[in-house]
Amino acid sequence: MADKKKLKLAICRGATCSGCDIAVLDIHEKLLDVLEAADIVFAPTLIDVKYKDVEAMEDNEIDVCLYHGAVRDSENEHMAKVMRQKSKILVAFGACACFGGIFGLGNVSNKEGIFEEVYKKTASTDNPEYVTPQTKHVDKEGHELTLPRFYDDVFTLDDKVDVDCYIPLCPPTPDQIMTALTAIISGNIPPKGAVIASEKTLCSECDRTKSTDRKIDRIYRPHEIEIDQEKCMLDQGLLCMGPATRAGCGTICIKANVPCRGCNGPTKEAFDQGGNMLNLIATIFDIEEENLTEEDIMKIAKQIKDPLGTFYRFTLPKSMLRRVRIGGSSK
Amino acid sequence: MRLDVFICNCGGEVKIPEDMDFGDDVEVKIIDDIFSGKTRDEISSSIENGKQVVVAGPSPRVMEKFFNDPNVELVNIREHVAWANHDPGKIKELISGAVEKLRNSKIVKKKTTIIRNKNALVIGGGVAGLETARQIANAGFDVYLIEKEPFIGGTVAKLDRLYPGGIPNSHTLDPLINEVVVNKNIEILTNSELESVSGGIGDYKVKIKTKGNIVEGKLPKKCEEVCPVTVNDDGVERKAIYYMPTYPDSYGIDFKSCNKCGECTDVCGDISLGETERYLKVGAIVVATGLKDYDASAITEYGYGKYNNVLTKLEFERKFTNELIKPKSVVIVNCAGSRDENHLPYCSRVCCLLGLKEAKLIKDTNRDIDVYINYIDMRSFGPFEEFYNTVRENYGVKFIQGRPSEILQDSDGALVVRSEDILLGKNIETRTDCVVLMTGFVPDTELFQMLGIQADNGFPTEYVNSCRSVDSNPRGIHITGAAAFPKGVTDTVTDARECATEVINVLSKYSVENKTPVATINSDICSEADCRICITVCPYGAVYLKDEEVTVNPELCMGCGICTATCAAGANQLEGYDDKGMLAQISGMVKEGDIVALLCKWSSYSASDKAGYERLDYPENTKILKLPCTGRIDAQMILKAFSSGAKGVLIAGCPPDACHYFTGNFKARKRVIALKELIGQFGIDPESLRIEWIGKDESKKFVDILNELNSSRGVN
Repeated sequence: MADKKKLKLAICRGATCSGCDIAVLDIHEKLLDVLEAADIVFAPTLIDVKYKDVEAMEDNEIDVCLYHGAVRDSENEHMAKVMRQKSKILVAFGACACFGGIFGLGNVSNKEGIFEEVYKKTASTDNPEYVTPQTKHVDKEGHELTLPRFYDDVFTLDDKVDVDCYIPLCPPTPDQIMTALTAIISGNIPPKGAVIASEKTLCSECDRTKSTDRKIDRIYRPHEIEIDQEKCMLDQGLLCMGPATRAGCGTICIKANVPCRGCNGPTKEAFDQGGNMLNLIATIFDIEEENLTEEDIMKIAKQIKDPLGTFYRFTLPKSMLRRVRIGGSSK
Repeated sequence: MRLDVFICNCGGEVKIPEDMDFGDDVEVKIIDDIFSGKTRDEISSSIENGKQVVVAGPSPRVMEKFFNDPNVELVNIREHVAWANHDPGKIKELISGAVEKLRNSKIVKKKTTIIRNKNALVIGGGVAGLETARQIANAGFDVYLIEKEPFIGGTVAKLDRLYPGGIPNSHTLDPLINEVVVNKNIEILTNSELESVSGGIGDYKVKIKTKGNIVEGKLPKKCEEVCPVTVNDDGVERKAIYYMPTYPDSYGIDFKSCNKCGECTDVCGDISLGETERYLKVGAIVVATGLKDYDASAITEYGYGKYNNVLTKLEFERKFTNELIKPKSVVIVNCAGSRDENHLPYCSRVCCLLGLKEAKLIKDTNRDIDVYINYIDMRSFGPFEEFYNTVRENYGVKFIQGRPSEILQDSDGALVVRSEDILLGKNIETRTDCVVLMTGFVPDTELFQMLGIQADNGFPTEYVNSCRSVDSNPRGIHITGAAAFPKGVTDTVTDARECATEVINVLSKYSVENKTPVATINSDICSEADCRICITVCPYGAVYLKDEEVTVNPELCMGCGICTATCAAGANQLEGYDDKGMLAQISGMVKEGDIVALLCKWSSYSASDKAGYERLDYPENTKILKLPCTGRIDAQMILKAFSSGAKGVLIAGCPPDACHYFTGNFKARKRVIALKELIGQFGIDPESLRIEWIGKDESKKFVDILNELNSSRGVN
């Protein structure tokens, strides 16, 4: 199809670990098919195209932009807005862009807390005057140097700009990427707001055998027990996020004998992945209900180390409370 | 206009603020009497026109009678605003919440079932079944009465007499049987059992298996004579083919014992030993399977089955009245295996009275026989105290308070009953030549399972949950008489009549509407058999796997929402209380600094109403939400309240063991306590989230807790 006009593809990065960039390369030889149908016009990790080059493009000139990473500073937000303007389809690519991801856990603190930790408290820091990054600095020769402004909050991509579709996971799997790209290349644009994943929960893809009574009398962390390869993780007392998480990844972690951590996010009818999961776990605490005391419940509940970090590992900025309240405010 | 809002000023009691604008899709009407015919017609026509309706006025407890529809949201502005002396501005916030809820909820469709079959199946041909069948048939409906034994009459037919007076069983049974047998609306099927059941109220499909046939009035005694099988029928020997003077007037074959040798068919060619199956369609089913004795041989220390003269109550009565035994003394052991963790943990209610009856029977026959009754407590309730006194004082029966520890046989063959006499404070041994074990009764678990009847301690939950013995669950399946719980003949007849009234109520209608909201499963999201956690939490067995898919049986679902709140994926939703609607209601009515009270409608919501009519002071910023059960409350709702600005959240429900749905309040407790830890991490004071048991009259407790919550800091 040499005469068919090639698509223009961009890959933009926000607050990211770059795993999502690598994920694109993980489609291996299929990359050749993609490159046959599309030109990569902007991708800071792969090609040397500057921000100003993108800014100079026409509106909607780019067909598809995969934006990965959360929005954590003014540069992330600026690029999110630029990419929105220049792209016909903007894809929130990976858990960070979709729900904040691991970066979203920054919402347990704020700028002040994070700076203090990084530029003052860590053991390797020697910074007696507590010098912290400034957004603007003019050196002796009069050169003006700037840095992006670091925000108090971590945002998801759709907190800041309109998003067309979502490919969650940390990072997206080659299958999911190809499903999305093949659809877009062939003109099957997913409907607005579509999530390229299954509608069902992860349990639907999981082959492990489930008990009939489905109760938990003790919670284990993965290193504390020998994990049975055949039995449901929850039935073994492991905090597997499966029941609160979308399917679509093919249970790759579970197949590696690691409980699901929830990077595919909640289903479309669930509005707080972490709260829902804690709620479910607590419901099935195996305590004689007739003689229930607060101590009995706390005995099991206390075995959950860091519930916030466990249940909201990838979705804190998209949760109902969005962030930890510091000094009595939600800022 | 999609939404109609009716606001009642309750005859001027409620001051309604000027600004009552809820958006372009909402029409607001102010009225002054919610219960006037005109207003009710107006509201009903809005509902019939497919509009969603908000009615603000007195408590839903009052309004529900007229507007019991999941698409109608009732807002309490009398008890919760006017009577609580709160600022009328709160009215708009409460109504906004209701409007938002309806905007975001799915419209609930009516669940109307046509009563296709104007007839009933009655299972069990004892007093309960006979009386129920008689009443239903007299109202003009057809009844199939099935009995698994070859003869009808049940347990009572095997007895000699009834307590307290000792009148012969025939006084009760014979007129009843005669009336049932001639009633053209009743078809009696003996030697018949229920094989399977499907369908629901109004249209149950049942399969009945009948063994043998009835050859009325034709069988010669010779059939019985040639039968080689001898059976011990509760103490009396008979053949596998035998006669009983109830119905049918024919020799009947006891197929449990019959070895199908064919001797009787040789004598009478009309006898069939085969099986026939019948498929019937019925509108309602009555379970009247009566009493089943607890297996006395399980109480090994009493030697039943080991010593010939240790008998069950029925064996004794039959042997004694048939003069098969002539004991010189008898020890009656009450509570044999009852109120005992190792056997039956419950009291079977009638055994004490049966013991008194046997004692009187013995003394009526021969005053010289010594009779002892070993008992724990005499439970001769109500009018039967006089019966007890008569037996003790006039008949000289000796009462020993103490449960026997063991029964042994002496070298001379006499039985020795060892027990403590608590009143004398010493151990005693009673020598006797006959012991009667007053064992308790057990439920017909197998049949309950087939019919989907939930059981607690083996007996139908509806009965155990008190006050609701005539309610049916599944709908259209009614339990009556001793099948629900052991009871005497008088109570059984009363119960049977109540049950018949319920059945007639159903059969006489063209259709019935199930107004209970039910849980629904979104199979696009549900992982079905691969998760099925919600199945394990349902107190009614209403959520189950059907062809590997999680399914809710609307006939069984009671609408508590425990399963809905458990699902972490939003795949399970309760009609009228779905997640989207509830969350929208919370964010629609809660403002910064509010206290949100999520209350169970059976208990704490009533307490909140009571606080209103007692004019108790509680914080104006309290926003109350009514739920079917605290078991419906999930983390999402609580977190939504906090994220909408609430500084405190109270979850309150029924006291322990008083949950309308058995375990909803315990489930809520587990969820809320576990959530406290999490909200603490979010920087919210864990003490600003509380779960409390608040009974329906505990308005003061309700108000105290709200005041405490209101004075707390709300944040860490």
